[in-house]
Amino acid sequence: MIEVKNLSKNFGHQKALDSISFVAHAGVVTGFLGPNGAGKTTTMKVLLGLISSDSGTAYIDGRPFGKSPNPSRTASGLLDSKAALGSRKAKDHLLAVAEANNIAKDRITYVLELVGLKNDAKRQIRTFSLGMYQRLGIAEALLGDPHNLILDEPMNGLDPEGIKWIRDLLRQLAKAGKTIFLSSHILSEVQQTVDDLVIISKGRVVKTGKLSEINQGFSSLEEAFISLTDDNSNIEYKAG
Amino acid sequence: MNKFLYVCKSEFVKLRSIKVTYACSIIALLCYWLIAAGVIILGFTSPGTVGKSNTASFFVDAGFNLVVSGAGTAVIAVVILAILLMSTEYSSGSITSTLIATPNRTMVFWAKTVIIFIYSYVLGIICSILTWLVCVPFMINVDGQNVIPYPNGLADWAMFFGNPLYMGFVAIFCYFIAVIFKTKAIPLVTYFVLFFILPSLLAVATSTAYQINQIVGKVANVCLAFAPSETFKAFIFSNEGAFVTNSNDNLLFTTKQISVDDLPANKLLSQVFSLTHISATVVTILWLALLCILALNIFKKRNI
Ligand SMILES: Nc1ncnc2c1ncn2[C@@H]1O[C@H](COP(=O)(O)OP(=O)(O)O)[C@@H](O)[C@H]1O
Ligand SMILES: [Mg+2]
Repeated sequence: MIEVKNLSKNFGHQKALDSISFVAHAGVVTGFLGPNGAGKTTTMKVLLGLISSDSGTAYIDGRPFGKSPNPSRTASGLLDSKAALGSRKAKDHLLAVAEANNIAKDRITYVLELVGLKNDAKRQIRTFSLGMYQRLGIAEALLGDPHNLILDEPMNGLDPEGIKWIRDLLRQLAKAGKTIFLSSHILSEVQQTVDDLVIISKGRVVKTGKLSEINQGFSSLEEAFISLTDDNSNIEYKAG
Repeated sequence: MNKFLYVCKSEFVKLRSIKVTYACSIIALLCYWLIAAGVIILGFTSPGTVGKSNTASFFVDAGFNLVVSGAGTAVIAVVILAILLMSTEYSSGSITSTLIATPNRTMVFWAKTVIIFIYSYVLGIICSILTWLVCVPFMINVDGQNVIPYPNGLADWAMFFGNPLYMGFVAIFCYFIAVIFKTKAIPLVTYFVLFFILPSLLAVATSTAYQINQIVGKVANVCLAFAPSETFKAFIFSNEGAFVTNSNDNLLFTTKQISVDDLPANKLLSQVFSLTHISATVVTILWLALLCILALNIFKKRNI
């Protein structure tokens, strides 16, 4: 379970997060939606202990991720799938992660097979296509079989078939009791994947709730999203 | 504790899965070989000019130094690798994946330190052994004499096990700098400034300033004595730098800047301040501790 309470973060004068609060429950897929620059990546980085917050708390399974006694079982994430050393072989990239948490080696084979990269394990990562990067990032996130998965725009760069694949995978993981928290700036992309929604705009939570409840009062979900994140100008959203 | 070993294993996987590790290792070995080759060529071509009556006695004199002197040059290879191991995490972005796998940054920091140190040290030992093996055929029969340099006594073993420490300590020193700056270029430049440019400048300042202003000369002199480039030489047991004792039981500087024999300031220059072997070791440890604390704190507080 992911609990964020009154979380704020400034980058210099730039307000990235302005006291945001929400909960993402175990056993469901929670969509984290907002236009570009809304603060989704920042929230996820704070959750994973990669950047510090100015105030508020961001807990995974009841404590900050950095204090987790068994990090690889607690949570993992995919923030930027391109963030891997290109000259390294895919298998070695995963092996480094596995060793750090004493994860059995056959998990590597398992996750590579799961994401469809079994035959590319010995290739240098830099030779991968964007979709393969994304799959490798997901393999890495699944390596430790974590209870919480934090995925930043995981469908970016995937073809329709890939999107369907990830959708089924995430639904299946949620069904197995995991907390799935994924961000997107395109509602239609995650509409069929998520149960709950947390919508943010300009660093503030504008709406949380069940997918089915959110579009009440709007003619469509897409319109609800645009209207909720519209701050007298939805140019930002359209540009994204 | 177990957890720390796992993180070390992870860092080792990273080290062995990049080509640059192998390139740097080969460069280090070549440095050892080149230094040894230089001595061998000198021995065979011009024993007269180095004050030895024959080649055999030249090699007997050179002794085990021949095998271990490469450390001072090979260190550049391990410095480059130590810097790259950290800076590529930032340039490629893989630091994210490292810190998600191990959110405890102190552990990541120390695991990398341990791996870089062990790698550099073991590389130094292996290079020494391979240099010895390559030297043997040349020295098995010199003027009818077997002059193969077997380690003989404590001093030789100190060189064999000690000189690679120099590589290890300079490597982690530069790794700490890389942690602070994240880039490749700044730490590399810092290394060259600290270990090559600054000591020569201070050496020049010491000898020239002495003739103009004793205070300035003394300051330059003391700065040089405490500069990392000089104190780290405490670990080079075959080097003519910090480990050469003079009659006053003091450890000298470098030898070259004292060679201004004809100047009136000669008398002052001969009283050049220097650290003893033990104090140089202590100062080195202080340098490492200072940089380590700084780097660790920056690393822990940094946004990614
Ligand atoms: N490292 C940083 N330095 C300065 N500003 C940043 C930094 N990271 C993010 N921001 C700013 O914080 C805001 C939120 O960014 P981000 O979390 O990346 O948004 P999203 O992921 O929703 O597109 C943006 O205005 C962005 O410009
Ligand atoms: Mg983002």
